[in-house]
This record gives sequence, structure tokens and C-alpha cells, in this order.
Amino acid sequence: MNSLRIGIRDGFLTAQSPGLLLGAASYALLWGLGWWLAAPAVSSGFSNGAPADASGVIQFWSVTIAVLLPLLVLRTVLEPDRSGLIEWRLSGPLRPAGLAFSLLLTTSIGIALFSLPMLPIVGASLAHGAPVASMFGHAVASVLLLVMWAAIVVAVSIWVRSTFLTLLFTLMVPALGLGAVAALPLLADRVDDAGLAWASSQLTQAARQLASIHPLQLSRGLLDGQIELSSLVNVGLLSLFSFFAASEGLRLRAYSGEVWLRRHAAIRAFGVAALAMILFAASNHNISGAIDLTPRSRVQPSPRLMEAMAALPEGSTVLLTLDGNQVPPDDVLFAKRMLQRASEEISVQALCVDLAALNRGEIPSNQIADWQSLFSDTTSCPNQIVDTVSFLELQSSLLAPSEHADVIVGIEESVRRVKAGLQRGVLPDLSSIARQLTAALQQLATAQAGLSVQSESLSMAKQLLLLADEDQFLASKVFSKAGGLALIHKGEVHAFCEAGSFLVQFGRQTPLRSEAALAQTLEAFAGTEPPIVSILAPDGSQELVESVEYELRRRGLRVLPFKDNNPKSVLLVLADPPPGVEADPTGFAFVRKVARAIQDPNQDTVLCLGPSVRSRYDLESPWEQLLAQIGIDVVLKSALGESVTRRSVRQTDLLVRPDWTSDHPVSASVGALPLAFPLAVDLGTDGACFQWLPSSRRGRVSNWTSPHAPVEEVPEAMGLVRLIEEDGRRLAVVGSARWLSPSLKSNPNSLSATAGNHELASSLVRWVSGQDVLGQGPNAALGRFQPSAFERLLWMGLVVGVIPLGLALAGCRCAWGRFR
Amino acid sequence: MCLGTLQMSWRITASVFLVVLAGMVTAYWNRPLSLLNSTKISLDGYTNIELLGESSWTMSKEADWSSIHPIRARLSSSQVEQWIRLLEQVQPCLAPKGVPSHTIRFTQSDSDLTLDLPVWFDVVGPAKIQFEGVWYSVSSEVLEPIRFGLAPFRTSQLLPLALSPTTIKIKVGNSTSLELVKSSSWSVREPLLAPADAGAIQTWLEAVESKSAGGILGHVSQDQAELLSGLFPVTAELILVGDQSVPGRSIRFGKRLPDGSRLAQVQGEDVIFVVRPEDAAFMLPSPTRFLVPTCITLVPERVHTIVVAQQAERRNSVTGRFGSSGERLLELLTSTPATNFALASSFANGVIIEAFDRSGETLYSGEIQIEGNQVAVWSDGLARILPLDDDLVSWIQEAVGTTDQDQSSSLPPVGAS
Repeated sequence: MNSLRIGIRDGFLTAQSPGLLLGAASYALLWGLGWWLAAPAVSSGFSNGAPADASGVIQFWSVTIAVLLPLLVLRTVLEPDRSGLIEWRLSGPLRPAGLAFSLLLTTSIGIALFSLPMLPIVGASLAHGAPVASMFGHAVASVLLLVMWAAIVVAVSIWVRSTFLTLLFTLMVPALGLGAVAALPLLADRVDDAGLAWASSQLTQAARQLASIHPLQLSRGLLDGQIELSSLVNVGLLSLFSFFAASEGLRLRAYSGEVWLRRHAAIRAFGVAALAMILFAASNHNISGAIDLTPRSRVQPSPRLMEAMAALPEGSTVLLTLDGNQVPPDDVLFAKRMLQRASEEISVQALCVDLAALNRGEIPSNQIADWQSLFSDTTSCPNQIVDTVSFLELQSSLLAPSEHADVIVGIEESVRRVKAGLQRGVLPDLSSIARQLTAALQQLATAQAGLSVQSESLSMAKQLLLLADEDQFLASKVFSKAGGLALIHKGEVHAFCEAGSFLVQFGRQTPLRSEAALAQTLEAFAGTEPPIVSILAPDGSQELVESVEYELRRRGLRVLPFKDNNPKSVLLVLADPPPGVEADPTGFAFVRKVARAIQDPNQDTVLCLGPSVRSRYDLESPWEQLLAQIGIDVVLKSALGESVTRRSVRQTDLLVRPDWTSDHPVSASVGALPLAFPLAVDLGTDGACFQWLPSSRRGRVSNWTSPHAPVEEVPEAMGLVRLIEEDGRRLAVVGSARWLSPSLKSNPNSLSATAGNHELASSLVRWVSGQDVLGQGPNAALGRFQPSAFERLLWMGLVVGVIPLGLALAGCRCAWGRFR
Repeated sequence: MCLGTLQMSWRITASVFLVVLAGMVTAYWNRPLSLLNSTKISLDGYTNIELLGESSWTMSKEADWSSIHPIRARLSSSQVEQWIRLLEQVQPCLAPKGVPSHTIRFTQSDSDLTLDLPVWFDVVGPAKIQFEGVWYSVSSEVLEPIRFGLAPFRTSQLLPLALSPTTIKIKVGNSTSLELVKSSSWSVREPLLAPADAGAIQTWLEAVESKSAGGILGHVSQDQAELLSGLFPVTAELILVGDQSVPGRSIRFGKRLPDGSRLAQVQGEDVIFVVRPEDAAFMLPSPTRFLVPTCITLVPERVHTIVVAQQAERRNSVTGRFGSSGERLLELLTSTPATNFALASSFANGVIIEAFDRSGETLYSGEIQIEGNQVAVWSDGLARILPLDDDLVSWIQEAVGTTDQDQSSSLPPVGAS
């Protein structure tokens, strides 16, 4: 109790030091400014739509504190040491361990001042739906690392008792170690270039061993979101032993005159060291496993995925194989968790296999045997192949060796190869085996005498070839190349979808497209009828139609040619720019066609309509009249005129991010996907319209006829998509069709966004067709930053203003108090 | 007091430091196995590798690696060496759950040194081998020959390199169609006795050594006589006999497949190769490929006088040169290659052609006869058919023509052309 009281009292005394308070104030100011200014660059914090997850910020904070900590320890340990306070304390009733504890406590209270700027950052993240478990886990691990570091630094300063040496050991040694971890691989490369391969491999090995020191491994695990349990335990043990070391140092100090001290200290040191050895070794050997801290590994599946999973036949297995070298580990975890969570309450088994890990041999045999037992014998070695092999063996034995020795030997060799091939891999490559057998059968046919036998061989060969070509041997594809998603029921592979359709290139990575892709494949497996779409576009936009058609098909929708009056299918109208109606009969016919469809009370429609030419001149246009008939006339009319002038520059005004926090299924389904979405109409904020963030460059132009007219800032958010739900049908109105244009792919600014746009189109079509449960976007699990201007001001004021100012004032007050 | 404490405790500090260091070292040794240094097993110097287990094979190394059991085949040494290197790169790992199903035994022919490596593996993933009581994991590629035998290692090279034969023989059935023997120089023994062109033989040998089979049909062991007689109904055999020390090699060609390629088997091996038709034809050449194409193999400068029938051409005593006809004759004898060869007995009406050196010693003595726009020159029973230009035709005609009117009457069309 004494030590606790002393520690707290000393801590508060230290905290009242003006130097420390002013230091903490400047630290807080720098940290706040950094967060404010640098946050957009590192895409966290207050950049629009960045993840709210502040784990990276916690990481960086711990690194700065690790550097500050030795300086603080000099103040809390060496100063009382010099003034004789430690000896004085030890002469009292306080035990050395208690004193070491109180020193640690004092240090922690000092550090607490430096953790103040983290509070608003973490608070803002939590307020915007940051994954709590992930952030909490990161914070705990960081604190553990800091406690270990504090114990080590305290122990070093007690033993060394010199400012210079303490700083040398606690700043230089870790810096050199970390530098070595980073620099050794580079050095190894250079050495390899110089032709000293052995030295290079030694250096690489050394770097690997340095990097595998537990504290470093724990820090790296924090970055990856996966913390090894053995690292956690070892870091805990390390802090415990550092604490012992500190207390032993104090004990030697306290009883320095005693005769028995040497032997006693030596025995204790040996005992503790032996214990340390045993504990370290045991924990390294016996503790395995890791804790997942990534937000995506803790995400919940969407109702659509759960429905799709439930529609699969009972007792079936969904086997997803992904190549871990191609897909980021985060995404593999995401897919695994999604599938397993979705299958939890139903009798469908979900398995996710990392093919890279399988090839590296990281999968235990019993698990492989389990996977093999999923497939029946006929799947892994179909009857046709067994029959063909025995047929070949029989027929070749009937051939005369004097005439057809070559055929006999050739068939023997083929059969030998086929038998070897059947034992290769988790599942054999049946297609290539079938092709080998076909070749052997054809050879046999040339040697056979009887016409009937000959034709039997040839027909067998034909059947095998057809099977090999018709993707009948799906089982072999599950574990080959990039893998895919397979539905296994009663030992047979019923359906297979290659992994290429789940993966999409975003920037330099190739992550999963979204959970929607998994749901779509499972729906196809279950035989759920996909919504039918027909596309209606004016003449001359064939390229746009074909590209949209292809992308929608890829997303599991059925696209049929446009037919009048087809209420079963969703009509997708792509009219941007809408054809003129003056003196243009085809344009007028198109207007009537669209009008007929929209006025049909049973026709579900997604209407992508750009502003018409007549509306620029404030003239009556049939297009605006058409929209007026479905109840969105007034707002559209005024907005169209303004947006037209922006048209010439709207290529630069593309990236508008969706509202991550909206509950609307369409919004959630594209959450966190980059979208290139040209602004065209403001449909107001009423109804089922969901909001898109205002772009800072967007504004209102009063005088659109002049090219130099100033752009007035429009503060309020502008809607781009309006969703209307009527009795018999659903309608989605989008102010443009150019966001689906294939030319966006050629624009480097919006290249990565095209996938998001097509995802949005498919979500709109699915919603309009009556599908309320849509899949979630790939990052739906992550909270997103989207504060209002006021909120932003509030947080910034807190971080940059209140906390540093408060600390500085406190510092000044203490200084004033001392001065008086 | 501070100084006293330090004086008293430096030994303790040092011993504590040492103990902690020892502890850290121990903790390091007990680190997870993946972090331990990877050991390298040295497999150099072993000349025999045997796989023991459900399936078994043996391969041994003389000059190159070859498989001895269950089939006899030469193996691609680079592939085998690569496989051995893979086996040498090991990483410590945990012991497998199951019992190893195979053992690889390495032995040396000249000593009793034996190394047994038990191998455990599963359907996928790396293999685990046991070496000196510790288990190591090795690349899954090591497993290929253990699972599927040595067939993938078979080489498709037809005849191995590094043999300088002294006799080359081609036998078709029981008769020898070509025999080349090297004593001081190469000479043709069959089908006729003639000196052989050493350069041509060397080029051919090099080309033969680089020939590889189009494919491997399979393998047939010696005791399957019926199959072998079916594969090689009429054998064309190429035999290369080396010195006493080096055993000879022989490859036999058998059945012709529908696409024209032929089956072939190297003596002492079980592998049946499929040889492309052009390669098979190249390896069974006609004797003319090896005959010396020119009449005289001496340097042209030695020739001083050429006599055809009664007419002679000499070098000018001042310039040391032949006249224009003499130059052409010299060229015909020394540097014009034969377009074809024939037996001398098929020519009847030759006139004598002789070449002498400065001292009058006979360098060449043969007979010559004009045949259309070509000329046949023969000696020792072998006739070379050489192309001829018009001026020389008329010169030879002149030399011959005075004596034989019948022959000159047949010449005008040649001269006219």
C-alpha cells in the first residue's frame, strides 16, 4: 500500500513539474496538428470516407512514446537517485520491489500526460463506428509493449545509474536493432549482387532472426492485425523479469553493507535466470495461435448471403479456395469468416482453403484427409476413367505383339502415367488424364482388327474428350491454380465458379470484389432466379449498352433484349444526353418509348437520364415533363439548368463518395468502393433519396451562358440517386448515365472506380427488382469518417486547441507557483 | 556509499549479466524450430541411390546417372543433381505423426559409407526426412520420383557424349552396310576400301551426339522377347566401338511408325525412343557421306605436272604458275568436291591422268572419262563424278580426241552447250 501511495504521490509531483507539462503541451499540439494536416495523406482521420479505425494512429503514438520514455525515466528514477531519495526510501519500511513498483507507477502517471491527445482521436473514431474490438485490442497490446519498455528502461537506469549510459542503451540499442532489421535485407541484396551468395544468405538469416524477437514480432503483428499469443506471453514475461531486475538492483543498493548479500543475490539471480529460461522456452514451444484484430475478420455477413446460403441443399459443403499469394490475407480472413458465419445456423458446411498455404505444406494431413473425404471415390476417380483403364489393359493384351508391339508399349506407358496422375494432389487433374487416355484409345483403335471393337474404342475416346472439355471434371479445378467456390453435395461437385469472378483489381492490390460476389455465386448455386434486365438506350450508344450488359452479366444478372411491355424484367434506361426531339422522329420515338415504360404502373425501372438540350434554354422539354409525371419535376428542373454548365468540366468533378453510414441497402452494398460519379441533377433530399457528400469543387452557376461565370459554393449536400417506391413497382432515378461509360476506364483518375460504379448499377437493378437484402460492400465492416463541418471543428478544437492550451496553462501555473 | 556499493556489486553485476546472457542463449536455442539455422545435408560423393519402400528403384552414377532397377535407363544428370540439391536444402520441422513409408539409401561404391534417410509425406505439402535423429522438411518436388518413379528423369538424348570411337559400323539385318575404321587415319572398310574424310566423320559424330528422341514410347525389359521382336522386326543397328577401355555403344532402329518416325533402343537399356524420320536417316548414313570428295588431298602447291593421256601441263619455271587449263585441271583434282561416287568398274574407256611433283614423283595416278557435262575420275576402284567447265572439256577432248574418234563424236553436244 505504501508503494502505491508513494508512487501516486510522486507521480502527481512529477506531473506538476512545469517542464513536463509544457513538454506535454507541445507534444499534444504537434500531435494534433499532425493528425489534422497529415490525416488526409495517410487516409485516416478527417479525410472524407477514410476508415475511422485509429489503430494505425495508436501504433505511431506508441513509437513516439517509446522514444520519450527514457527521457521521462531519467526524471523519475535518476533524479531521486542523485538526491539520495531512493536510499532514504529504502531505509524505511518500503521493500525494494515496492519501490520499483512505485517508480514504475510514477513513470506511468508521467506518460499519462502524453496520452491525452489520443483521447479525442480515439473518441472521434469510436463515435463514427470504428471497430471497437480491433481498436481496444491494439490499445491493450500497445500498452503492454510500453509497460515492458518502461520496466526495461527503469531496470537499466537503476543498474547503470548514469544519464549518458541509460540514454545510450535505451535509445541507441533499439534504434540500432530496428535499423539492422530494416537495413540487413538491403545489405544482403548488395552482397548478393557482389557474388557472395553465402554471406547474403547469412545476412538475411540474421535479419530474420532479429525480426523474430518477440517485442518486434508483436509490433509487426499489430501492423498486420494479428497478434501471436506466444509474443504476448513473452512480452509479459519480459516486463516481469525487468521488474525483478529493477527490484534486485534496489535491494543491492539497500543492503550494500551486509555480508550475506553477495551469496544471496547470486543465488536469487541464478534462480530467476533459470526460471526465466524455463518459462521462455516453454512458452515458445507450447503456446501457439494468434488473436485476430483486423476489423474485417470480425465482420458480420449480410442477410443476402445468409439467405443464399440457406437456399443451398441440406448437408452440402461450400468450399472456397483462394490463392493467398494473389489475395491479401485480410480478404482471405474476411471471406472465411463471412462464409462460416453465414453457415452457422444451417446445415451447410463452409470451408475456406488458402491454396498458397496448402502448397507451402502448412496444412496438417488430417485436415487434408478431411477435405478429401468430402469427395466420393467416383468424384476423385470417376468410373469412366477406371473403365477406360481396364478396357485399355484388356484390349492391349489381345493385340499381337509381333505386329503391334509399339501400341502395346505405348498403352502401358500411358496407363502408368494415368495411374501416377490419379495420386497427384488433393484431387487429381482429371481433364489432362482424360486427354491422355483419349490419345491412348485412338492409338488402340488404329491397331485393332475388328470394326466393332475399333468403333467402341473410338466412341469411348470421344466421350472422354467431351467430358474433359465440358467441365465435367469440376473437382479437379477446386484445388488448381487460383481456385474458386465449389458446391459439394453427397461427395460430388455440383457447381464451381472460378476465383477470377470474385477478385477485382483495385490499384495495386487484388482483393475480393465484395461480399456481394460471394452471395451472387451462392445464389447461382442454389438456382435462385436472377433479376432480368433489359437495356433501353438511344441509337448510337451501342458501345455503352454492350459494356453495361457485360458488366451486369458478370454480376449475375440476366440481360435480355428490350421488349415493349415486359413487367417481369427491370428496365434500365441509359439516356445521357437524351436525344433531341425537335425535327428528330427517332428521338421523339425514344421519348415515347421511355414514357410508355415509366407510365406503366407495373414496370420497375432504373432511369439514368442526363439533362436535355432544351432545358438549358429554359424551354419545355418532354424529358422534364416525363419526370414531372412521376413526381420529381420541380427540383429537377431547376437543378438541371445549373448542372449543364458544369458539364464541360465534369470529368474533373468525378469522385464523389457515397454515404458509408446510410442504412439503405443500396448504399451499404457499395460502401467503401471507389465510385466515379458525375454530378448532374439535384433531386432534393426528400423521399428515399440517399445523400452523397458534397464535393468542394461543386457549386452553383447563375449565369451559365458566360464561360467565365463564377461558381458559387453550394453548402448543402446534393443527391444524385433517387429511389421511389410505389405500390406496384420501384423506380430509381439517376441524374446521368455517363458514370457507366466505358470511357471512364481510360481515365486514370477514375480507373479504379469503374468496378464500384458497376457494383452500384447492379445494386440499383437488384433493389428495383424487389431484392431488399443486398450484399455488403467490401469494407462495410469498417467505420468511416464523415463528420459534419461543426463536428469536425469541435474535434479539431479539442485536439489542437483545448488539450495543448490546458496543459500549457497548467504548466505556467506550476511555474508561477514555484516562482512565488 | 555509492562508490562502495559499486565496488561491492560489480562481480555480482557481472555474474547476473552472465547468467542472463546464458538464459537468453538458452531461450534462443529453444526458439520455434522455424527460427533455427537450416542445416545442410551433404550428399556429394554418393554414387548409388536406392529407394526402399512400397515402390523401389535404384540409380547409380558412373559418368552420368542411370537407373538400374526396375528399368535400365540413362537419366538426365542435371535433373538428378537438381533433385539431390533439393534434398540437401532442409528446414528443421516437427516430427510427422505417421510412420515414414519410404527410405532413401545413399551408398558409395568404393567405400562402405551408407546414409539412410527415412521419408514421410502426404498427398500435398512438403516431405519430411529424418537425418541424425532430427526431422527436416524438404521441398515437395523431392517427392516426385518417390511417388511416381524415375520415369520423369529419363533423358531423351539418344547417344551420350564423350566417346571417341575407333570403329563405326552400321548393320542392316545381318549384313554390314558401312564400316569405318580409324587406324592412323579414318578409312572406309565396307562397302569398299577407301580413305575416309575425317572431318566429315567428326561432324557427323558430333551431330549424332546432339540428337535427341522425339519422345519416349515406354520401356520393355529384356525378358519380354516377344514384344522386343515385335518392336524390332528388322534391325538397323549403329555400333560405335571405342578403345579397349571404353565400352562400345550401339543403338538399334526398329519399327517405322505411321508418321515415319522410327523406334530405337540403346543397347543395355530398356527405354524405347521414338526417333524423328530425319534424325533416323541421319544416324544411318550412306557411305558416300564419309568418302573424300576430292581426287587429291595434298596441297595444290606440290603438284608440278599434270598429264592427261599424252598431253601435259606444267608449271611455268619463271612464275611457278600453271597456264589457264593447268589451273583448271589442278582445281579439278585438288579442290572440286565430287557430286557423286561410283564404282570404277562401271567405267570402261578411261584415259590416264597423272600428277607429278617437282622431282617427278607420282602424286596421283588414275583414269578420267568425260560423261556428258561431268567427268569421272577414278583410282583404287572408286570413281568420283566431278562437274566440268567448257574450256576444260575441250582441253581434255583435245588430249583424248586424237586417239579415240568414237568418243570424240559423242562430245560435240557437250562442247556446243
